[in-house]
Amino acid sequence: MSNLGGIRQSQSVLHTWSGLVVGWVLFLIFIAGTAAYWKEELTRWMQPEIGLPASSATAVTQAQQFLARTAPDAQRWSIDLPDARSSATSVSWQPQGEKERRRGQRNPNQATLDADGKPVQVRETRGGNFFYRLHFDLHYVPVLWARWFISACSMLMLIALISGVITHKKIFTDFFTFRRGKGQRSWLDGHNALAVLSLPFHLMITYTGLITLMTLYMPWAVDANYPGGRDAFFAELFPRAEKAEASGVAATPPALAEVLRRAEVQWGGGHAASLQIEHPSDSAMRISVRRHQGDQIAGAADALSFDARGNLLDAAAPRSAAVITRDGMIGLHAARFAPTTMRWLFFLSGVAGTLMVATGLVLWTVKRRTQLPDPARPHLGFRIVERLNIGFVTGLPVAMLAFLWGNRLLPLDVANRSDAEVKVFFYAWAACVVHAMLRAPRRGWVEQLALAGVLALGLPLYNLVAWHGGAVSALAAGDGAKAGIDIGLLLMGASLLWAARKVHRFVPAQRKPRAARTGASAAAGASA
Amino acid sequence: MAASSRSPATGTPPAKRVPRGSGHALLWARGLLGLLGGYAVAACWAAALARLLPGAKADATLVATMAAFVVYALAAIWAYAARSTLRATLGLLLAGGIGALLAWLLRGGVG
Repeated sequence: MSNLGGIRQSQSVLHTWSGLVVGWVLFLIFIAGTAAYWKEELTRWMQPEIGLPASSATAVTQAQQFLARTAPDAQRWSIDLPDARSSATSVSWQPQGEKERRRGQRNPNQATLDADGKPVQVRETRGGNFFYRLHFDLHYVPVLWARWFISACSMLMLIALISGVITHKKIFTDFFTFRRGKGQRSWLDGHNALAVLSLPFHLMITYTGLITLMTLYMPWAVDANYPGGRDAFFAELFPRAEKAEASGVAATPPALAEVLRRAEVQWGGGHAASLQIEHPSDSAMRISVRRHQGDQIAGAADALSFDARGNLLDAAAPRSAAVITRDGMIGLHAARFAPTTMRWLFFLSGVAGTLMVATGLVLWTVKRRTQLPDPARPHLGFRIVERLNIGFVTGLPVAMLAFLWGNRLLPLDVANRSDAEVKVFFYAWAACVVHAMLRAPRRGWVEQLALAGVLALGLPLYNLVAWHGGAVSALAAGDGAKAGIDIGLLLMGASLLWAARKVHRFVPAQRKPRAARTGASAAAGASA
Repeated sequence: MAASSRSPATGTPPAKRVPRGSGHALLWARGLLGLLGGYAVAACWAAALARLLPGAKADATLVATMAAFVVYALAAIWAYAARSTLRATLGLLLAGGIGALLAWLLRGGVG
């Protein structure tokens, strides 16, 4: 056979298979990425020791006082300022003669300051950053391998989306069609509605996601123009400020709050995200201020540097149209610019995407079951797909919620506490996969949905009792982020329990001979 | 997708069905062609566009890389949509060849 049928037919085949092969990975990417839209809020929620942050002018003054006390003759100071979403000021310093630490290496020379400028002992946690990293770096695998793998899956996702649109004869009619309680039909309608409803989002998020990692796995344009090596390309794209050399003349830094104010004027409004002061005890010191990524859709650091008297030395060159386009793509993907209402829209679109992948996975098995020689006793391959669906679609939410519980329940002095939290995530996930393999599919779905529901509902209740009134006191204090996570968990828990109940009560359609199927399946109960 | 891959339940025989066996092998051949062949075509065009586009070198490089994904998606769709596997292969070879040729012809301008 050399003909695969018409274009719709062939696209349908492409859609089905490219979708299944990477569906589980895509589910992980979607659910972790969706959660990561609340990364800062989650981190704040996961470090309940800290209250609301100070304003950036106050915070920078407090940080300066702290550093001047703690490390007056360090080689470098770094200050990360709080914003409306995150909770605390973090400062770190590099003592004279010490080498720069690599990313992710534990740094003993650091402190977290609360709104009064006092160092607070916060629990060690990866916070929302865990979901963010899991979204494109996975875990326990070398980062480069993970990114290649994620990129290949995203490319297939893009192909599945495009072929999904081509397959779809009646894309707009189908959007308004939801045939309840018709088994496979309902799953297909649900999958279609979820996909079409947020199709612009899906296309955008997949394409921009590919853009974020593009020079890694599509390096051919770079190689074509920079035969000497990729470093030359990055050096041209991101010119590095030359290092300041110490003069040997002692000095103290100017008031950093005033430097911040000047930086904000220079940007024409906007917020500073971080400061770095090289040689803070030397008259040749250099203060560089980086801009908040969320200030613009095409976020950029727009670094400015100031001298020991607080005068502007140097500003980053304006970006070219191509760079702004690239930054805009990344900005749309990460939504750092999004204020709360729009962030909710991003989040809900992400939820729709997660459900689209989930319904697609379920549809794959529902459809194939009807084509099996004996649907009551499917072959091994089918059973594995069916069980893995459970292990991913409900196992991952259980694991994510278990991670949050780990954050609350693990003893504060346990060694490598943030790694221990991550272990809770993976143990819980592994347990769910094993559970799904051992139980009958229906029981597997119901039990894991119910477990996820109970875990989600339990967290805000636990906070209410164990963390000074939880959402209630957070709301009273005006801490929308902490309260929002609690309320979100309540809603999520309720929906999960509702879904568990639906699946539990679901009466499957009686299997009829094919010719008579149309009328008979109307008798089926509602699908979950 | 089920709507188009299954004949309606009116009793008419299915007009087009993907046969088992050799059909599946061909399907996977098309899949690999789309995935790997599509990537190769995109890579060739990324290099060609990087040298073809006007403006600063770094900018042309960025735009070419971003555009390569559009080429990839189109090539992958072609790999399935072509009437035969042979045509699909030839089409990808032609598209990739033009890209590679352009990149090679423009090699002079790169220092």
